[in-house]
Amino acid sequence: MKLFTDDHFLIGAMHLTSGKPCQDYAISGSFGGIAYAIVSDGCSSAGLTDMGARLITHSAARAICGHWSVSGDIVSASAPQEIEIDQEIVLGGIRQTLGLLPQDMLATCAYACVGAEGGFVHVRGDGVVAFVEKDGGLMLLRYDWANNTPFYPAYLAENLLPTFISAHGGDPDAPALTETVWTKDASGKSSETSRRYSLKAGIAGAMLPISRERLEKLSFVAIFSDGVTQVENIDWRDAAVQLLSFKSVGGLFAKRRMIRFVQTSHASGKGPIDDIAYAVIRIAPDGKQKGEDSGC
Amino acid sequence: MPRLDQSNDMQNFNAGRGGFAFTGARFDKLGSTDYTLVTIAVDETGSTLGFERELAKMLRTAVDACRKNPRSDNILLRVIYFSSKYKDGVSEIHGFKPLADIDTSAYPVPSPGGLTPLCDATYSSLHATNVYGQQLADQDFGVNAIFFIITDGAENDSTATMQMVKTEQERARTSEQLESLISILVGINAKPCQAALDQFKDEAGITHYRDAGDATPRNLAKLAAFVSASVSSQSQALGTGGPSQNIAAVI
Repeated sequence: MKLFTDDHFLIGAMHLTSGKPCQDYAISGSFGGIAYAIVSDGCSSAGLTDMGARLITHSAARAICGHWSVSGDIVSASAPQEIEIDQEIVLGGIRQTLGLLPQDMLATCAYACVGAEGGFVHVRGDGVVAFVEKDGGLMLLRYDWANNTPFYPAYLAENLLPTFISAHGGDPDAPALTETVWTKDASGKSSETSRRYSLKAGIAGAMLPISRERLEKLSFVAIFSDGVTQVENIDWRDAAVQLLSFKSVGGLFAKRRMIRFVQTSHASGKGPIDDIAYAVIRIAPDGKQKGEDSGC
Repeated sequence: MPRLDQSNDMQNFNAGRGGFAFTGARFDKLGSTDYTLVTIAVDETGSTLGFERELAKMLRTAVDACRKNPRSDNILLRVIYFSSKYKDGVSEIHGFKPLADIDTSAYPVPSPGGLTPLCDATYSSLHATNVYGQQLADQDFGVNAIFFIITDGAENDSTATMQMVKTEQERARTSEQLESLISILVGINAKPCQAALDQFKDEAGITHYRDAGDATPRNLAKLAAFVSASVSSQSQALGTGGPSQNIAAVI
């Protein structure tokens, strides 16, 4: 199979009018036969989280590529944890080198990485994951934290976990993260279910393995920041569907789609209220891997 | 005249009245987010005899200069020659294609002959821009456009009517697929027919008329610089919602 990637992020109306920077960020790329798509959403009320979001995504990319170089494995159950450790090492060093504060690093990290044998999605924080099937089916998984207080990986890396647990009532077993799964099959029939994760499970993050068999049925895997759920007067499912309705898939396909989506969304309201970001992996049938690695 | 576009990277478009076909880069070969469509229509009528080599040189210089534009990757350029000796008055040298794929050394020196089908040249430029621009926009690309009609004479033999030109102008204005469209009629050696060209410009809805003066090497070099600078301005305006503002009033 061929793997292609693209990503884009845009500032939302709220940050635009309040003079704040865009605190969402997304990157994607390919490396040695795998592809990755990473999104981060910085905490609005923390520090320089626009920087944090960027450092988190780039450190995640570095960790994914490094892990793949060393182990050649992104399908075993231990891969996400090993990548997480690699990322923390990279991130901690960069933060201190740049003189940034722990609160500058308060940003989510959701990513997908896939190769010929499959892969996985790991959501650490909130956002939306999409699996688009070749037959037209679609699965959207939305992650929301109670009290709009999402987990940020920096809580673990910077020893801030007790504060976060206290903010959620102090009980690690209490439900704190909601996963809403909306599916639409090829015939157009849709259904929705939801389940709660405990605070402890939410901190570990939502893990979505992608088997080789499943990957072969997919045309796109996409990761969105929670900005997709806050487009004025557009339901989050419709927003995701529209952002995945690529008119052409050459080059900057996700960037084009998001630009046009945001333009058209202004017909019905203010468009994205919050910053919005997404990163997409396109799975195309047989052939060569994307020509150039993205420099990890 | 042979077309230079025989590669699989180009696609034929046959839509339109009067058989005004054109070619354009296949959409799956385009990877950027937005494009400026540029058309340069060059007069190849009998009256250009004597400065046809200079015209070809001007064209090559203009296109080569466009490559130095920082947004050269976001430009798709089409070149046509016009004369009544061609069917529908127009011969497409190449369709809308990325600058990197254009070999200006392969541009043929015009072979002067025939009358001046100014309506055909304008209609072909407008129609191809509208059709291709619409399809690009449908594929989520941002699009604006600029075209140049370089002539030394007034309209005297076209297949397309002025009404067809007006209809295409109206379509360009109302479809909202093109973020902006600038059209420039350039007169070269055209002093005797300037009044007719002015009238044509107004009637056809062309946005600017520029008199490039006599067909001297110096004036043609200035014309090449004007063309590339105007393309650059229009390309940089893409995404701002309006046309470029800094097209020079005088060449």
